Order: sequence, then structure tokens, then C-alpha cells
Amino acid sequence: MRSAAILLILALAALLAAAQTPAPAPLPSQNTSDVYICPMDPDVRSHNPGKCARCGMALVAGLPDPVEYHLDLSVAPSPVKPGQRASLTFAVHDPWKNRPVTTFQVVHEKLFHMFVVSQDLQVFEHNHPTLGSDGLFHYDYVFPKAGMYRVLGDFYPDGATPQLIAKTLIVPGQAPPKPATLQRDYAPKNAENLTVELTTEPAQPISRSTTQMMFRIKPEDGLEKYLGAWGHMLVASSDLIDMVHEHPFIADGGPQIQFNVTFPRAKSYRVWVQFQRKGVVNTAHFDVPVKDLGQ
Amino acid sequence: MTEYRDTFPWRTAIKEEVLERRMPPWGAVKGFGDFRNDQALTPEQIELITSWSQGGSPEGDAKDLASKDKLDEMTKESAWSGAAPLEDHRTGDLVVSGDFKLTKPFVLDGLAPRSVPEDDSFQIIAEFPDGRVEPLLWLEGYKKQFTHVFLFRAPIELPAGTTISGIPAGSSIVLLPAIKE
Repeated sequence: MRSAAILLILALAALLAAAQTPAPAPLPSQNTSDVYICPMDPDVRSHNPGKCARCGMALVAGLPDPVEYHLDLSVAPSPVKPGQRASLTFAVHDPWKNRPVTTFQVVHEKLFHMFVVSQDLQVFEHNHPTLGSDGLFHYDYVFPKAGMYRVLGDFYPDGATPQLIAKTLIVPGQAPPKPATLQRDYAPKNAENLTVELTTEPAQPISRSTTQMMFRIKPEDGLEKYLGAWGHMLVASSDLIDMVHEHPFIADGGPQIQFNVTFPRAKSYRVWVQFQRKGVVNTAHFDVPVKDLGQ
Repeated sequence: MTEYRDTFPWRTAIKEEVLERRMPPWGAVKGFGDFRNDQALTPEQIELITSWSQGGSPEGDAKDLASKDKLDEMTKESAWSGAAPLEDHRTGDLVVSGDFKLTKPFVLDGLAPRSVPEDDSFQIIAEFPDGRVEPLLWLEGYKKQFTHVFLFRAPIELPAGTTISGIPAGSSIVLLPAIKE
């Protein structure tokens, strides 16, 4: 086991340093060695500075190693009670000397994206704590029920790589039951001012392989970028272990929007998508059972 | 394994082990408890490896490789390369099975699985007398290679009356006290 572990870490080190991308697009033939990379989509590269065609983030010249920062979440009052306003505070520290980090890059028009998902998968919140003069991110939130919540922080410290860090917060009290295996639910969803349809390729998603998730929006007019992207997706396994944040792989403002997702395990997943149309943010979710190859 | 040609044949196995979280052999769900010796990969690292594996597994530029010193440093203090805590009990260790109520204060530095059935999964929490509930450790699909300490980033002060719960009756976990300076 140890040799296998060392295999992994050495392979990882080599990969992180030497291969930031799968099959990068051919670069234009210019006499420069500068390569600009999207911090969010490292396979998007250019010889020139600019913005990522996929997610809109500014390309940067080279990327530092993807080192994980510390994210501390505190809540007041404590213990937090269901139905009562709670103040969430997020503090970021560097991983080397635990120094407070107070300067951040904008990611999709915000300094901090927060996702909250309840253990019964009924609660989904995507919002944006604000950076205070104390260098901490603050957000007031009402947890509607007792139980376990997974709270994801998505942020980008200066000089680092984008971070997606999960925390767990437990609201004392009688918790709702954890969901059983989710049944497949690809039925079209009527959201605020649009309808979302989902098809996948393959039709039966396979764990650890790429699944193309094609969303069709109706009506077709009036789609707008929301937070710098044509859509946002949060994928959560029913046991809340896997949490993945994705942006469209293919989108051009038309009604067809494709996300590519690699589901890690043969579990059922709830997939929330957000699209903006005529100034209104629409949120819908689908349930996707994932199987192992040959299952 | 330090060479690309040695790593390439393992590209699919690496991806699968990483996505299933069997590698690195950390064993705890990330974000449930906060550990200073956390060996789990971040979502970005997992995505990077997955993309590399699925995208043709290209060889990088040799000039970007980490130095041998850096690789040695990375492997030196990993959880699987020498952190064998269970033979190194500290004075004041508590072995807990099932729900356990503390009768006196305890400064908790970490947890160590002592006896956990293969493939077992459970969440260990601390229920404080004032009603707070603190997530401590979430073991998922336990394997014997996960038998190492889980050391908190900062010791947790547990007052008397705190209940440690979530440990099944058939499992036992060692509560490691903070070492007094």
C-alpha cells in the first residue's frame, strides 16, 4: 500500500507541476514562450492575456501549485437554532504559517461564493458573503431546519489557485431523515421564468467517466450570463460526500448548454443548475443515479 | 515511481483510486473536522488528475518538475509513511466505544481508530452541554490502511458533560489529549 501511495503522490507532484491540462488546444504559432492559463479551466490556454472563453475568468501567466488554504467557519449565536438568523463568518488562512489572508481575486464577479446544502438535499443556497474591513467574509443566514449542512466556500486568494472547500455545520435538534437513494428524475423543470430539460450522454451515467449533461432552455430568448457564466452547476452525492461545482463546457447564449461532469462514485446525485433569463435567476434540480461500468 | 514512463501505465488506476478516495489512504470525509495532517486531495487536485487521465495523460515539461528535495519533503511526513500513532499512546488517552459522556474536561488533540470493521462508515460528533454540536470525524468505507491519527488543526476544549457520539458499539476510537507544553 505504501508503494502505491508513493506512486500516487509522486505522480500527482509530477502532474501538478508538469501537466496542467488534458489535450490543450493547439496554440497559435507565435514566437513567445508565455502561456496564459485559466485558473478555473486549466485546459483553456492562450499565448495572449485575455479572458477564458468558457468561464470568463482572466487568464494568468502560469499557475502556482494547487495548495489548499484553510477556511474556518464560525457561527453566532452558538448553538445556532433552526429558523433563527445566524451570522456566518468565514476566515481564510494560508497553509504555511496560518497567516490571515485578506486579499482575493474576483471569481465570477464575486470574491466569495457560498453554497449551502442540507442533509436531506431539500435546502440549496448559492450566495455571496461580503468581505468586511476585518478581512473576514460575513453572511447572515436562516437555517430552516435542524440537521447537518454542508457549506462550500469557493474563493481565490491572491497568488494562489481557486479554492473549493467544504465545511460542515450541524444545527442541533431533530434532524430530517437522510435521503434514501434518489430515483432518477430527468423530468423537465419549470423554474422562475424558464423551463429546463435535461438529457445525458450516456443516457445512464457511469462513475469515473465523463457524462455530457445537455440542458435545453425554453423559451429560447433572453438568456443572460449569470455571474460571468452561462450557467452554474452544483453536484452533490446523496450522502453529501462528493460536492462538485461546474460551469458550462459548451455554451454560446443559445438554448443548448452543455456541462461535462465526472461523477466520482456509483451513487445517486442531485444536480442543481442556475441560469439567468431577462434578469431573473432560475434554479432547478435533477436527480441522477450513477452506476459503475457493467452494473 | 518518479518517471513519466512508469506512471503512464497506471493512469486509469490512479484516476479511479483518487475518485473513489481510496488514494491517498486518508479515510475521512473532507470538511467534517479540520485536521493538521489532512492528506486528502482537494477537489481541484482530484479534477486535475481526472482531467489528465481522461485527456490523454500528456507528459509535461521536464523543467516544471518538482525537485527531488521537494518530492522527498512531500513524502516525509505523510500519514502513510510513518505516522503510526497507535503504538505511541499518550498519557490520558481515552478509548471510546458507543456514546461516551465526559465526566471531566478534556482537551482533544486528535482521534485514532483502534478497532473499526472493514468498510464501516460513521460520523463522530461532540455534543456540548450548552447544546452546540461539533463535527469531529467522518469515516467512510473504512479500510485498515486508514489506521492512523487524525490530528485537529487546533485542540478542541471539551467541557465536562460533553458527549462523544456516533461511534458504533462494535468500533473503538482513541481520544488523544493535547500534550501540555
